[in-house]
Amino acid sequence: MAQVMAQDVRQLSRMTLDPLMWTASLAALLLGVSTLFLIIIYVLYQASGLIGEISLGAFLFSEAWVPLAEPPRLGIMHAWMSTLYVTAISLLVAVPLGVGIALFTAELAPPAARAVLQPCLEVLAGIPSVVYGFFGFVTLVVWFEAWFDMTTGVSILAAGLIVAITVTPFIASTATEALDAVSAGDREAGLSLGVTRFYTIRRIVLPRAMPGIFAGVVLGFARAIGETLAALMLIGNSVAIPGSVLDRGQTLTGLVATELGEAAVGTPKYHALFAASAVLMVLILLINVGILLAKKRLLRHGF
Amino acid sequence: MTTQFRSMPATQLRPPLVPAVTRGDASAAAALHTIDLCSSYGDRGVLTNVSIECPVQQVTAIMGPSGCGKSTLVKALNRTLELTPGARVTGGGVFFRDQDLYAREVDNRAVRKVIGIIHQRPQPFPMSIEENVLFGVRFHQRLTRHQRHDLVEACLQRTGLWTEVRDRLHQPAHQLSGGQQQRLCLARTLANQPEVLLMDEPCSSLDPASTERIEQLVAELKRDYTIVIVTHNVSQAKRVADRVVLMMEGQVLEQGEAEQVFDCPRTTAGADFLAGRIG
Amino acid sequence: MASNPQWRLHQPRALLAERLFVAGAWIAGSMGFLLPVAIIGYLLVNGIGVLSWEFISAPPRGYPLGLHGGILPAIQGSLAVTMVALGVAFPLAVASAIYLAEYAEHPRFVAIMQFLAECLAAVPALLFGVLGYGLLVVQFGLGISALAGGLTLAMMMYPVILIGSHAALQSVDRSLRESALAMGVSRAYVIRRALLPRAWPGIIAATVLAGSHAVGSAVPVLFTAAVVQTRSAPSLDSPVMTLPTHLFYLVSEAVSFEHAYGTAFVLLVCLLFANTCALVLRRRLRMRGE
Repeated sequence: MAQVMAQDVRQLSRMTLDPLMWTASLAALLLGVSTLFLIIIYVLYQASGLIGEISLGAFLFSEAWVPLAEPPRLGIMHAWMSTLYVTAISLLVAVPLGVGIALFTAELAPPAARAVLQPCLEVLAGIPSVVYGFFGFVTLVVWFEAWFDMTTGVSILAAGLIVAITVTPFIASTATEALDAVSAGDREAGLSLGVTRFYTIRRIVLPRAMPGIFAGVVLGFARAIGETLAALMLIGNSVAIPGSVLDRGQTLTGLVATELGEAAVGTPKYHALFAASAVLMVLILLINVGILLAKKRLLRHGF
Repeated sequence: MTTQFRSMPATQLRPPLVPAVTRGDASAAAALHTIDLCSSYGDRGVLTNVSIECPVQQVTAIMGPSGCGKSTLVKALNRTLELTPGARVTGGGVFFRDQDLYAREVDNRAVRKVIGIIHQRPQPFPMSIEENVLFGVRFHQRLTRHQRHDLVEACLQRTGLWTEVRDRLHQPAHQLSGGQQQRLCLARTLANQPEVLLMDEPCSSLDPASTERIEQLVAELKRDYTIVIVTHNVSQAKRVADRVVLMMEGQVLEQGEAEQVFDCPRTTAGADFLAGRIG
Repeated sequence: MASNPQWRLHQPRALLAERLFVAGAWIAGSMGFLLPVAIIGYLLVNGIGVLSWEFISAPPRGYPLGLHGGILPAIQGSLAVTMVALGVAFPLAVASAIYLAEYAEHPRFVAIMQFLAECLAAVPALLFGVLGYGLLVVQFGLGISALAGGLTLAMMMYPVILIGSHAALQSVDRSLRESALAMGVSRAYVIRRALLPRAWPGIIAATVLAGSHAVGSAVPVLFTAAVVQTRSAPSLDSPVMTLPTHLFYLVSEAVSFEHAYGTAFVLLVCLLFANTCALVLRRRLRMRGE
């Protein structure tokens, strides 16, 4: 059928706007989508300027970040360790909370509660990360100073908790979607054997929804890694390797965001910042490509 | 209860899986009956004053044109109706051996254990064949591994699946054919050791051969269980039923011994339905 | 009536688990409700006191800058950058969506393009900023300017609008398009007269969501368009202030929390308004679909 239509298009093409629309819209599509490759190629290209300056192992695992030293020392270990801490804390909070919200929405909530909760989560997802950072700064940071007797409350923990709030609505909505996709017949068949709702959810609903929930959590992980300002404003920008969650730190994103504007173009530091971005980019793209491909495959197999 | 089962020899779980209570009771007393049962879906009434009797160790067929409320009725019998959002019982009662199943102190989950239900479409759970059978058992009883194995074998034997699946008990249940899946659903209901089996058009999604297999099973199982089967298929009801309830528009049109209802229906509407003039 | 033990459930542990589950889910659910309400409420309550006519109509003053005065240039700058971004991203994305939904012949091509768009949508804002800075600001010599910032945001908005518009176009009934085509008119005509009017609300909703996301997004603008202070009205080739970067500056340099509350208030109110519009549009669309 597509062929017949394509033929129609060709026949009519001399007298109509179609060839123009066709060309223009295809050009727009190719131009727009090519930004993905532009980002990948450009970031990798700029990062490649670091080759010869420092080995990959040293860049990732051993060197400290002292760009003003002579010669500059450009290691990002402190940064990815901070990112790891922040992401771990945020997922530790966001996964139970998000999945809990999803279970509530999909399994227990009366329709009215559901109708209220979903816009609430959309609002939560719509708050910009700079506002989250500010909110964390005037609440969490202040509380931490009081609770933990810290001189400043900025810390990896504060950043992790706020990042958790930014990721929660995302995990909640993907998990709700996955739970909603489980058929009502499954639930009814389980419950009609005289078991509790929790038993049915644990043994039937959750196993069925698990691929979707897992995908949501992994994508949430990718988001947490990429979160910039909310973490930057609360983590205290210290280039020391963090020892505990109450230490200050600097995430990969924070490192790039703080230093890129000040790095002289073409210097090793400039390239190192692109290399740090490349690490981030490769990680996030791999995660997303993996999940998207897995999802497509699951769909094709009609799971 | 728990300790009782733990100390129980495994052999006692072998077929027939029937509680002693109903066995000796040879009289055709109703195991299950309803009195003036009314139910509604949202604001719309579905059942009005339905009073039926389902005698012990007999097959009661509930028949009627689609939309007459027969599924609603059968679900109300074991309190699975309330699982459907908006549906509820608004009046009257369901009695199992004179116990009102809708009484305050009765736990709906306990009711569902004693009165099992098979749905229209087979719903295998996302786990192995063996675990499917054990789904309810693992919740309701604490058995040794040996007892569990015996129980799985007994239930699968009972539904004629054992020889077909004995070598792949640990494979996912969705690999079975539709008819096998439906018998698996029957087996996992039997594993709960119910006293009544409700079947809501159990053959409507099956091929003729599987349908025949299920009908055979119904005939075999009625020795040990009280069976209520919903069907819109008159010839199927003629083959399996001892007693027939004819419903129309949420009310009972006729009920009685199968032969009597089939041979000389009292109402013209009933005669029309049985003759296939009303869908 | 003597209650028969048969009619009770004898699984104390399972019943306890059930109760804990229900309690936990309700707690999680109420957190999902309380968290946004608390955050928004806290910021709005603290921000509304700061709000005055001067605050939204005057440039920042005082030392350090922003201690007094208002945030007018930031509002103007945010609008300018967003307009540039919308002006570029909207036509490109809608045209792309039209190609994917109407002209593309190979399902495989459509699937690959969709896949790439989804990957692009997953790229974090920081990377767009890095690209915008390295390529537009430095290499193309645009400098830190509203144009560079707008183009960077446009790249960020593009996949969001594309995915939303494509979905909106696809949700239009197939039979409508076939019966229109059967009249012997061109595809372009059908798109203009029959499809776009139907898909419009969905496209607008996606655009508003993408736009509000871009307005609130500080990182890409931070490298490419933002300065701490401008007095002139925004122009394409000069740097601008924007609301999120101003908020970032006020907090990170600890200038004035009072003004930070005010800025956050203005930003939030704009975004909430835009998002609500988009959600209402989308909901109406969904209802019409049913």
